[in-house]
Amino acid sequence: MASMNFYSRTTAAFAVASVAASFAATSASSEGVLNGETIRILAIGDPVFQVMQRIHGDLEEMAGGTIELDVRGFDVLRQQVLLNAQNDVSNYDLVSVDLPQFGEYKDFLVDLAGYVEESGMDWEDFHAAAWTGAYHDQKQLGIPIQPHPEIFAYRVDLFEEAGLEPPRTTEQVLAAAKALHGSKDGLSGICWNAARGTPLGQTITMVMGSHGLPVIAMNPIEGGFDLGNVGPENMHPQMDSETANEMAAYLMELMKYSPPGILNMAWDERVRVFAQGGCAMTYIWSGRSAIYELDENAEARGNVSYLPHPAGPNGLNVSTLGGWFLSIPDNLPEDRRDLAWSVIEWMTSPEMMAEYTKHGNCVAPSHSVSQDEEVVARCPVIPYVDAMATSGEIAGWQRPPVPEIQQIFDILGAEFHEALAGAESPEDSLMEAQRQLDRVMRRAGYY
Amino acid sequence: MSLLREKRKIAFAMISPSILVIVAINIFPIIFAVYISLHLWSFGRGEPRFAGLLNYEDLYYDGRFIDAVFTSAKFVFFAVLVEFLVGFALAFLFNVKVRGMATLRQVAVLPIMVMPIVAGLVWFYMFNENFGVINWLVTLLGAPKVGFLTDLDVALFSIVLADAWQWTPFVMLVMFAALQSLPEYVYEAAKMDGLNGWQTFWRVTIPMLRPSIMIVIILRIVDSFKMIELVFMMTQGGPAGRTEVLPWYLYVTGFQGLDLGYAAAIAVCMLIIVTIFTQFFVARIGFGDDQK
Amino acid sequence: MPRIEFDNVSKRYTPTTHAVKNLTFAIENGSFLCVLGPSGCGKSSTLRMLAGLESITEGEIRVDGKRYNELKAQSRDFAMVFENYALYPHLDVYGNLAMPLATRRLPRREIARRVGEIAETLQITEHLRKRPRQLSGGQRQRVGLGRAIIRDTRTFLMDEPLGHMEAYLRQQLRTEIRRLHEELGATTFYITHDQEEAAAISDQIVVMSDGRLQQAGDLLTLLDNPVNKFVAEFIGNLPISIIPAAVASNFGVPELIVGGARMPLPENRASLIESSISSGGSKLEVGVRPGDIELFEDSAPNRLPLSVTVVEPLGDSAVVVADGPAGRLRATVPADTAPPPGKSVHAEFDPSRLLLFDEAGINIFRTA
Repeated sequence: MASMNFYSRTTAAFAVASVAASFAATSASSEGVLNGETIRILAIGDPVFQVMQRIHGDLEEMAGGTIELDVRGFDVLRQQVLLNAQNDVSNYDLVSVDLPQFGEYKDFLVDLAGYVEESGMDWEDFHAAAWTGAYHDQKQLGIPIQPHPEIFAYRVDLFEEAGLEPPRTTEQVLAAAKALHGSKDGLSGICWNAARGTPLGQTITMVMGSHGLPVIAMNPIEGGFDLGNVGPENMHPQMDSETANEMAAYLMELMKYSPPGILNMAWDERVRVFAQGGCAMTYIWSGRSAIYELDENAEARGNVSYLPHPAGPNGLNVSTLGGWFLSIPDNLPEDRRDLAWSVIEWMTSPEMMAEYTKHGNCVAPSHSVSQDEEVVARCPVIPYVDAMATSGEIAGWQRPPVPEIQQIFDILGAEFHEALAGAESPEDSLMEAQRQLDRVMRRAGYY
Repeated sequence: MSLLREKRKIAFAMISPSILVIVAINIFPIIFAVYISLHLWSFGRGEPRFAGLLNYEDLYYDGRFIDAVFTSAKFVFFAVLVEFLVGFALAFLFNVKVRGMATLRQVAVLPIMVMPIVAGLVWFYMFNENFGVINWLVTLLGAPKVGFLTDLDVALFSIVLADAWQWTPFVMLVMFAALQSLPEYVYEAAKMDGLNGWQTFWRVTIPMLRPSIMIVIILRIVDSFKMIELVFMMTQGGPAGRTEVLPWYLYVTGFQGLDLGYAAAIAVCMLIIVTIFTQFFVARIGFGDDQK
Repeated sequence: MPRIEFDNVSKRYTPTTHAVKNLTFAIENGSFLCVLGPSGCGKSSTLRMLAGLESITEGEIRVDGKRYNELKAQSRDFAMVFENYALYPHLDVYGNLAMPLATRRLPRREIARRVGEIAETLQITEHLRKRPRQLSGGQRQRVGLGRAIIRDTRTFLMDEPLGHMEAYLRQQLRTEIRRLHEELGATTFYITHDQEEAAAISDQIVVMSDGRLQQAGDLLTLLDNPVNKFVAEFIGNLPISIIPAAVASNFGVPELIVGGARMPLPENRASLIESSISSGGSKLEVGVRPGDIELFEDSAPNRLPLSVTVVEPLGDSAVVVADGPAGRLRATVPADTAPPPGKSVHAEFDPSRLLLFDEAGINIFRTA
């Protein structure tokens, strides 16, 4: 171990002395950001942190210290972050934050703007939507580590065979789905998150976004809605809107071209069915394309192209950004913060991002990494996402960062499931969802 | 006299820690749940605000809650019914003295050892329509795929089946032990009284097993009423809420929605419901001579 | 009333151990038969074979000439009373009494009438709503009896029904049982290990030991004319004294030599010796019951010298336990004439009531 350390240090020293300045960051990390110290991270059981767990030994060696990763499930992580915030002194140096959670957490996270400036972090290299996703109340509350959009994947081979255009509108999606559904044995039109609760709730918020409206009455700004300023007056649900009805009609149509078991389909299952050729199109969190891109037996491998969320009749081609950021809890003592910041800086560096892609995490929220040929070869999806980021087709407002976001997902995902399952009309489902959301907002005291 | 008092004091001092522990473990959480249920309190969003019976009032008008009550009732009814009938029949089967029964019995209780969450995962995959082995078998037989977890009329029974898979052996075990402990002489008396097998079963065996039957039913009612793992792993309450049992709704409101006051109100209602039900059966455990 | 025959019946639980061996006897119509024997003698197995609770290994049981071996217990129409009562713990007295009627489709009122009647007869009316565990042993067995008689069966099987009870209750209840028998006239097969009970209750006693029938008869026969040493020792309130003896000839007339005393015998007994004992070499023992011994202070040739060891007072009389070179004797004397311990006495036996056992334990003096 000691000799290995010696080796890496000498090479680092050599690198600093002889190679161009753009590599300075690499050398800094090779020195070891931790310098023998220990860092505690409260993490989510999602791909990027699972990669860290897998290469934990190497990671600690690179950092030159101990990295304690407490990996939790989604609900438990949220409870722990909230509990930790009530402690006098934080138990963790870093916490991982999902993009829509900033609204809920904003009062107890450290503003990182000063550190960004001081350390000269190249923040413009990050995708704009990812970077601004953590910007609330004029504060930079987190640095993107695994933000990726939910986009639209389709089988190029099948589309060409059938002479179909890449679907950029919901109308085209339905036409393609109709043409391809059942055209081969075991082939369905489209896979998506239709399982009850959070999966369907997220689908509804995002698809409603691509129909042109967020689920609550946020203020419209140029090219979207104002994510950074959501006040009580913006909390009114909009499930009684015309857009909601369009969204509902689209989802009801999708049901006709969906694979068996769609009502219980969620997250990776849709990708697996798509991977083995069970459906011609799928909504997908871009990073999860690794499931088939890294699997030599997957039928979809190498045959997939990507688009942003297809737009509804009056909507826009806009994909929802989600995923994870690293933040510093504001009850962390001052003397730990510099160390915490340097770990953020190291973990979100282009080199480390490229490293994560080697292990099944096809996410690269920065322009420079997205152009790395090796990265692109591993993860064909990354340049597509980079292009979408550049052309403003990625945004975060579809899932408003308000404390009630989880209740919103749950109510939408529970109530509209009634419609999808045929137990209730879509109109009644939307009405009931509107009523319940209204009740949640009133109970929370917004109006 | 003073010595006795002294002894009493010491005795009290000795047992008071355990009384405190019992109060702390059993009573305090219930009191605290009732207390929280009288407040509006969203975790992480400020201090609890007193709200009186508002949470309960909201529950009364909450269709999802009412639906969950009936779904729970339906689930408990069918799960306990299946587990009891099958477990009871198996107990009789295993009571037959045949070579190999003891081994079979040991194998039969294995599902009890499985963690419920793992059982849920296994059944989720088995019932899955795209990867599931059961639908694979169904299609091999030439039948159309069954929406075990997505069909409105089937999903709850899929969960009942998974629950029964896990807990029928428990019923079997308890009833088997009870059968083994029935005195032989009563059966001889029944023979001499001229009762045939059927009459003996209904007039002697069943009534004598009543305490065990009641206990096993109480345990299964309470336990299946609290069942959440299978729903969590298999359906998350779908399709269209047909499997949304109370514990799952409580989880959604309390642990996802973080609406703690509301979740506490649900918990209190659950406690009341389960208490009423179990008391009904507890009163019927004995042969009835305590009621004199 | 049925006649029950045991024809060479055997019961084996394992291939080599007999619980019952070659049992042959009959119970006459309407009679009350007691099977008497120590525990483990096979009497319970005998009853259970008759009841149909145990299979019959060999032989045949016939009731009114019909083979019963294969008939199920339910079809034999016997009523049984158990030693441990075997009441249904989950039913009250009423339910227990009504159970045998469950097999018939009787109207509720008819059942109530008969249960009431039986309860009246057995004086348990006030306990009808109690459960077995709230009753005393005597009350429980009254219920057991009631359950047996409610069906109007013609045969009762009773397996030591009074075995678990206190003495005074036992006496009370056995009178009750006998009364019921007189009233109903049913054939009764009764098992006990208590000879006094057997004598008091039955018409006929069958003594069993080691799975075999030893002797059948009434109590007096068993006392005065036991077939063998086992019966002689087993029957009798106070234990019989058995001591070694020899036969000698006094001018051609056989005499008994017991511990040095020479005892002349009456004609009928002397003739039994002549016919059964050819050589004087066999080992013999004499048996004498306590009431057939008289104690004297003076010695005589036909008296056995002894020394008193213990005196057991029995109220009016006392049992004197005395030891001599020949062995130990027990004699009953009037309480006021009992000699004190340590005193020398001379015992004279009533020669007409002596029992004489050969090497195999067979009673040579058996006359009946």
